[in-house]
Amino acid sequence: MRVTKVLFLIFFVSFTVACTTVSQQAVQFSPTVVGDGASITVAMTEVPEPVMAYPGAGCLLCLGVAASANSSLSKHTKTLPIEDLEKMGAEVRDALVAKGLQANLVDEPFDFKALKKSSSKEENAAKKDFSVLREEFETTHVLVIKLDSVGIWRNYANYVPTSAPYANITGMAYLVNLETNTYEWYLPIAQQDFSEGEWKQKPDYPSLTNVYFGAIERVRESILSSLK
Amino acid sequence: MKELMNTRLLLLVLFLTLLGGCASAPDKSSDLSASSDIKLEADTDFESTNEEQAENKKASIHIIANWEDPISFLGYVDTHADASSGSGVLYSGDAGAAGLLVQIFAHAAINSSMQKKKLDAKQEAANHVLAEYLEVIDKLSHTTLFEVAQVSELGSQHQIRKATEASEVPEGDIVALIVPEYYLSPDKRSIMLKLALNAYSSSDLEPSVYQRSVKVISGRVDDTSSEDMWLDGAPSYFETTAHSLFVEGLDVLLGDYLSAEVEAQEPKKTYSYQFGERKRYERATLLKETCDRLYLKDLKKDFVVIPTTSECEVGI
Repeated sequence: MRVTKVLFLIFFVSFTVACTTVSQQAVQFSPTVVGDGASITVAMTEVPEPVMAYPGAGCLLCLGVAASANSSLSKHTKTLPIEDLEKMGAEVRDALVAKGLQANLVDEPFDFKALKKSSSKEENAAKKDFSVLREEFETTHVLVIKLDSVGIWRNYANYVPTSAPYANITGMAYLVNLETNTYEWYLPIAQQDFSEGEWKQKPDYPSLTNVYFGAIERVRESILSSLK
Repeated sequence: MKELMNTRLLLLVLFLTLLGGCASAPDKSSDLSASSDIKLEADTDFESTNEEQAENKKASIHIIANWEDPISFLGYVDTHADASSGSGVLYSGDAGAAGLLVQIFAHAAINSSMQKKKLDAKQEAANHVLAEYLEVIDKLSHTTLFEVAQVSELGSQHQIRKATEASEVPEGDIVALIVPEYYLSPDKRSIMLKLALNAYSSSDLEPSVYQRSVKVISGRVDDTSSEDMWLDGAPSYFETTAHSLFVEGLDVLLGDYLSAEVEAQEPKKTYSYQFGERKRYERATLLKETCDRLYLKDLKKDFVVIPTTSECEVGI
């Protein structure tokens, strides 16, 4: 009986532990750690098209109701430009060069999905095996800017909106040492900004559009200031 | 008889010719002076007419405000992170479709009321920054703002008058309804004025009302001694800043209302300024730039005047 209990406990613990994922903590940038001889290749993944999302609308019918209620804003969100986000790679490269580091930019959006998963469990170990890029890019480090979501979000509790719509940009930026395959800089990006005052100004939603551009600037500034 | 008639006619012609020839040629110089005198007189008339015309041309603007009400001055509530999550609810399915709708509406009403309560509490908390400045805020009134505008350069460009009712404004003059609202930043280092203007010509039978607003942000006072700096002088720097923001804002709005300029199609950019601990951004078109101010038109086509980090050189 006792053995059964212990086995059950072990199974339960291993089951619940497997369910949790440890999120990568922020790592401060230090030019000393990166070193004088480093060459950094800046690569940006494709910037996602802006869309509207309804976190909290937890059933299909809720989602349908939310989408229907926000159809005009959703349509407008799709027209928001992403050029300022796409320029970030070049701006980061320029900032690194201005610091006296050797840096270049991958012109095309880079797809990291082809990279294998890293098996290392060490602290700050990169989730993917970037070391193969060492030869491809002839570089010592790769700096990645990866945006996961861009657009306007509105929180829901099932059918009921519980917040005004807000600009939302999430993702991450990190620097991987290709020799050790570890993060030497890691910045989670989670920018959420609400508009000031009235937001229901159809069809152009100027207040929300303004905070969308503000959110882009905040992301840009957080990346650049973090590299100082 | 016919010959006699011809002779008479010839005599008449000769007489008239002689008369014309006898008339002395006028002294050219005196004539010139006379004509220049006339011209001078005409010039003087013209100048005086110009002055009168210029005076008449000055737009006659009748400002209407809630003269007796105190000026709205609040602490600034930053709503950038108002991600109120609300609460999820499990709706009962026993009550049928109508019951479900009732539950949804009740849920929405509760959420809305909670959000309003939260906002009121935030505003109350934000107003605490005004505690040291209540005395100077009391000195601000719609009338003092009007008087400051009247004696400013704006007052020399236009005839600014005070009015209480639109019906008392003479035909052809401009009716300008203003609503100023001031905010002190959470770090007490800047003041923001939001000024709304509704303007129209009193001669219009069906007036098309010009409705625009301007947000004018002051420069930042020193971090270490903001209270001392704001309260320094008589009138205090706090009051003079509030006055100058009002004049600047009214000037921008009236300038836009009175000018028939075609809207600038400059590319839009994101501009930033500091208000409180947080940087704020405006996606806007740059209209004008001075040594320490940027004049912008935002996406709502309203105006924003922001300080720059540079300072104006002091003239010798």
